[in-house]
Amino acid sequence: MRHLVTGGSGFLGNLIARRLLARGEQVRILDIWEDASRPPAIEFVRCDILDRDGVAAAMQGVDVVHHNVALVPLTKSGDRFREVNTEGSRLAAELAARAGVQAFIHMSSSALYGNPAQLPITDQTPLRPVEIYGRAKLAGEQAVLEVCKKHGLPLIVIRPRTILGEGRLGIFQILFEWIREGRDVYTIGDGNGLFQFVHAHDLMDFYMIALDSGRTGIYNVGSDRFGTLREGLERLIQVAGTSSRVRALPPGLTIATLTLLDTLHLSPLAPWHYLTYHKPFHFDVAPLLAMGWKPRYSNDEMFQESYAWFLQHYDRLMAEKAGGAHRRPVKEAILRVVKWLS
Amino acid sequence: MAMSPRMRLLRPWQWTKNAFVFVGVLFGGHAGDWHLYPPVLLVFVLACAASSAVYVFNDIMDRERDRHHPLKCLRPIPSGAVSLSQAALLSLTLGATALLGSAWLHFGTFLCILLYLINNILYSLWLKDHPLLDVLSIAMGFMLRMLAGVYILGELPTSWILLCTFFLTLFLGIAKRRAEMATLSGQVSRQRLVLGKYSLPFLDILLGATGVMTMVCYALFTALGGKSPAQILTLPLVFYAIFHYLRLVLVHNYGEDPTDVLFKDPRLALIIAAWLTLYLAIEQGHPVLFR
Repeated sequence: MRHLVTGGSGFLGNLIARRLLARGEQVRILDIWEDASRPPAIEFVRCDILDRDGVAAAMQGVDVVHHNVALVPLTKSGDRFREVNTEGSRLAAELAARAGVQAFIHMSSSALYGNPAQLPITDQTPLRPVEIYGRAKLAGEQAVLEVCKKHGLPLIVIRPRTILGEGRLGIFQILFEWIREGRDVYTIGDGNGLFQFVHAHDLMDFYMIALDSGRTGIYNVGSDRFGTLREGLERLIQVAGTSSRVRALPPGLTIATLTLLDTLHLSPLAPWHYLTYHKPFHFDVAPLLAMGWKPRYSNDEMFQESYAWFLQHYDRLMAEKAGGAHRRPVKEAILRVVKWLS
Repeated sequence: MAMSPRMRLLRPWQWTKNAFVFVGVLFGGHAGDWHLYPPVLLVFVLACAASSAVYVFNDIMDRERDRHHPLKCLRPIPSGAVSLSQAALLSLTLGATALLGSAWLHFGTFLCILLYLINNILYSLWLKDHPLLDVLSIAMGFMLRMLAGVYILGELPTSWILLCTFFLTLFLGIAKRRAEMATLSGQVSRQRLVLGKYSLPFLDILLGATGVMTMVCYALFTALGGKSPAQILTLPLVFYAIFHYLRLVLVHNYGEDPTDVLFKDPRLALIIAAWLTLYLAIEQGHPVLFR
């Protein structure tokens, strides 16, 4: 089968492309930047997702389109979120339908749920994003659903929880850095709500199960073993053996301060982080387990593996600046002041 | 405590008009999202800097004319309390602060502040002498303040907020002209050239028309704006506020400055507070009373 992975140089697109290649599939990726470590067997097309002609050409002769192009929350892209995450997705689905592909897999987000009133989250939970990234992702998913329904194009939608592993640290890099130095780390609120993550490998395992099953639908993917954010951090500190402690910040005041700092472009944290990380958030993954998926990593194992990876690559991370936002070290900006006080 | 001449030049009592930056957060469904108020407060501060820059600029431009006004001759520039160069420096610094500050925050907000400054300079130099264009320019100033407060939230304004703000601020601008006409009847031509191009009956018609349009737009906003249908309960309060204001203007010749009217007539302030309280209570409580 011939596959096109849009956003194939980014974190998830890259993983999908390599998994497919390892299975002996023909893989073409489309992205605006080229990943230097890309295996030569993967064909690279440099193209913006909003370039209609370029995307249409890349889809010629393709059997399955894996749509991963997205601006992630950390990019704080403002109106560009709508252009890329909504209109880019709509365009990808339309052109895929026109090119006559057999299936479309859309990488969605748990940000579509915002701060859900009832837990665990199922595919029946109302979609109420609370910030600009989530709203753009929701509009993008709805556009893809509409296009695929209209053209009878089989569609699989994946909504992953916050992803760790394979060198993806996101905002956790800041916490890891503070823990390494023995400084206190902070949770918004007491951090006692159940909070689920997913490991990149487990997500890829399920992704391939969904692809092979051919069962269209929407899949919420998260680890089956998780505790609270506080427990995760406390266990990590214990394993790291540093003198850090987890401290709780009052949610209202902290969120107002982080919003203000974000507006002033002084904080690395995006609304998706500071508006939702103080609330419990976990998916019901029973339907996924019933499909034969066996996630290997618990929250704790993910934290510990990521922290070990962070220590191992510490020097490079501190120096590295290139790549997509999820593969680039996060700068602390104004949070440096908090670290200095910790 | 008396205000220093330089502070008086900034007209801080007029900063209440910049409260229009909060329209978006209050009426866009975010009234209960406390974390959104600090960024809007920043825009409020920048709007105050921009509006003060404009007030100083106006006072510089009007200094000769103001010397002949019974009250305005006491202003800091015509009275000589603040020198022309000091005033010019103050105006430039405030304008630059507002522009640079908003550019740092958000492009949309920056554009609003920039257009606000351009609009006001055009008003001072030209538009204020042209009937209808003068009040449209005043309304535009309020619209831009409102938009600056919406864009900072990363949102786009709804047509309802645009319509309500447009007609309400036109209404207030026309009321201001009407009051000036009534109080300055003898010296119209020297003080405000534009008043000679209006007449009391014409201003009365405009006032009635924009008052009604404000009422109609607000009524449609409550019914069709995607809000709780219970918001229709706020209509009597809005009706009372608008037409009580109209009565103050037409019967008592109030209205030269909307801020003064608020201070002079506590009943109006009370009605506005009651309306806002009821509006927010309905938004937070979602009472199901109508379909």
